[in-house]
Amino acid sequence: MDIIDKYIYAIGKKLPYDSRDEIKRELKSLLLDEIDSSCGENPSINDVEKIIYEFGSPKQVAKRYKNDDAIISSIYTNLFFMISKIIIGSLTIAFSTIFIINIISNWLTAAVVLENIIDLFLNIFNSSLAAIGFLTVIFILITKFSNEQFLDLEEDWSVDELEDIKLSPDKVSKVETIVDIFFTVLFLSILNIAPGVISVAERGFEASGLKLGHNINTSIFTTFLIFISIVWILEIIINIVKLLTGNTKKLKMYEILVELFNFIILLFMSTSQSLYLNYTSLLGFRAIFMLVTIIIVFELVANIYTYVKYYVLDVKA
Amino acid sequence: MSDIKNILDNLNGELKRGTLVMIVLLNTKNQIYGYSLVQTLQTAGIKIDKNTLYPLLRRLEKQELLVSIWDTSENRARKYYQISELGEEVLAQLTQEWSQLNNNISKML
Repeated sequence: MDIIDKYIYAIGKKLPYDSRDEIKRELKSLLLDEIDSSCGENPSINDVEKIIYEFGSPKQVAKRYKNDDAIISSIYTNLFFMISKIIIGSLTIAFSTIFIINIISNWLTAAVVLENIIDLFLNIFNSSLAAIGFLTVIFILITKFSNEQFLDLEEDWSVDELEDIKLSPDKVSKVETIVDIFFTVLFLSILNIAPGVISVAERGFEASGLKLGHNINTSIFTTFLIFISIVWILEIIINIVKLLTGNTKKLKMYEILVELFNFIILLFMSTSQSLYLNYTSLLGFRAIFMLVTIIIVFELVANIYTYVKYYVLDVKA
Repeated sequence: MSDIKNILDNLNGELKRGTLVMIVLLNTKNQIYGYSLVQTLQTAGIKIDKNTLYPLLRRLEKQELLVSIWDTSENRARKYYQISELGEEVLAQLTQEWSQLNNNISKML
């Protein structure tokens, strides 16, 4: 019956993608049972509509089938508040330190001190707001990601897919991969069109009161940029293939190789003396490069571990 | 007066919600499909909103307390639920808790 299909379709649009087909199938069967038992074999449109109204609006029905539609899962609430407090505390300490140093090291008039005090509170408020906003986005993504994981294990399972599940150690998250591609393209374009943006960022750091221990030599950076761009282009290609085919043994291997290449470039960037001008301390882009190098090492180790575990030793996921 | 009714409605609702899982597990010893379970419970004097029961069956299946199978042998496919081994274990402990609670409360009455 057309109206039932339309109703089920409307519910389906509001259901989580992974469990949609199963719930739709079950709902249709339940609805037909109700109609059969209440209205007999040849129900009128009015009878069917009455049963549908008893079931509730598509939105209400879909909501009953969603476990937890909180944007941040309750299991992360405590952690979220703890990190928020740490952020506010750290920013307060950081801005207060800058404020105190400024007061001590400069002869300021009372009016300027007052202005600085107001600025101090405004800075703490604004930066806390921005940081907690960013944190919220991260937690929303974690909630979404962990839900996907949960659904993969509990709902996305069927005998036909058993082989695929065994062969893909980590299911590709489409959202994550698309976001990855988007940002890589963005950074790739910005840095290649205007490599000078790195100096602009440095001036931005200094404008915020941070005293940098060195500056980037943009002409040397441009040479490194060629290699960085190659890595990023390869990463984009891998991510696109990953979206199309999911994780495969070959793809994971290429991913590891590109990461290795990335690590070597970053290692050169972190240790090349000619890349840094007026060098007095680590504080500046060199610290960022070193941090990223460390992160890449962890990623590399994790990926090699996954590769060996699932593809070499063939451990079942 | 309506205040008392509201309070009682809420408390009754909570009381029923607390026993709902036990009731479902007790009535899924044999394979049964959603609509039939609603009828069985109604006959047994337990009024339960089908809109609460159907999603609950699915949730219990996800918790592995129930197992399900699609029967496509008739002209319409139906999803049948049955208590799992884990469900049996949980039910045994749950009924024990229930008896204990019932005894304790009875002594207070």
